[in-house]
Amino acid sequence: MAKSIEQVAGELADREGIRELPLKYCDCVWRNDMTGIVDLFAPDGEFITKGFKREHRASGRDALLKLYGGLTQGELTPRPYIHNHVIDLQGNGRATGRCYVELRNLKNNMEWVGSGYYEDEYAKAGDEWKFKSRTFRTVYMSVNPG
Amino acid sequence: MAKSLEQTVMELADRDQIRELPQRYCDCVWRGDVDGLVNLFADEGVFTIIGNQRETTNKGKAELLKTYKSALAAVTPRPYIHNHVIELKGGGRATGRCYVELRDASNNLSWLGTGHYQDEYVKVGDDWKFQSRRAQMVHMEPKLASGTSGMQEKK
Repeated sequence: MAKSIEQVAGELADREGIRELPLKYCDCVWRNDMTGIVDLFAPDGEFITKGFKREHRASGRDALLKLYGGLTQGELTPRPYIHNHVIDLQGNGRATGRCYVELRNLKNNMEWVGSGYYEDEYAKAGDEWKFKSRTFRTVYMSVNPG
Repeated sequence: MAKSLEQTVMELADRDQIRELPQRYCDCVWRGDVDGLVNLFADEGVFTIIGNQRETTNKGKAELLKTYKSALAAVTPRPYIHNHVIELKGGGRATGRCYVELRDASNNLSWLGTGHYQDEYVKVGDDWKFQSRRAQMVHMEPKLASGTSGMQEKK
């Protein structure tokens, strides 16, 4: 059955709301706005990093604030560029997506340091879309992200 | 005459779907999902690559599957897409252009090259597909040049 114009417009608005999340995330990282990053997550949102040797999980607002508070303390002060964002609406205020990131390092003349991708789950809270979870998988990283 | 609200919304929906095609293409390349990649093309879809003073064209799903399988295994590219512009032509047709950077998964994501795609899009049922992609390489590192020269050549 063909979608009504209201359904088409609603899905477009959902996609636009979701598309902005990884963009705002990068914008917050660039501006060192750690509270802004955490505000993009649902209250029980999770950030999971999967490297080659270890996995780390931060769940909930306090853990996320602690995690992102340490973002610039290692060898890397990341400056991200996001690419290739694909989105699948799942219905009932849920969606999934994947996007790819390149990182440059402010601490070293914006040297290109690596790349990876995020596997995201999104949830609609009221009128806003939020990250329900972000799983970052490193593909290559020349420095230790701290 | 001004467009109706319904026309405007449907054009936005068309643009949104078309915008996703090159993004999904890159996502499939990253994940090595050749079937997914070829399913982004119409049944008689065409892929052409131009570089190193030669032009190679493949048409239809069987040829595309064969070509992408061998090329992605040989080169292991990891693409990022940029600057996508779209022109709706009406009647379920559109054209677009977008720019790509490639890195190499088998060499610490070193830079492989860059170029641009000249695309034709066609609406098949409710879905937009690539009718054709014409990849004009602007710079290719030796590994990329060698990998693309192995693609199945058709006149």
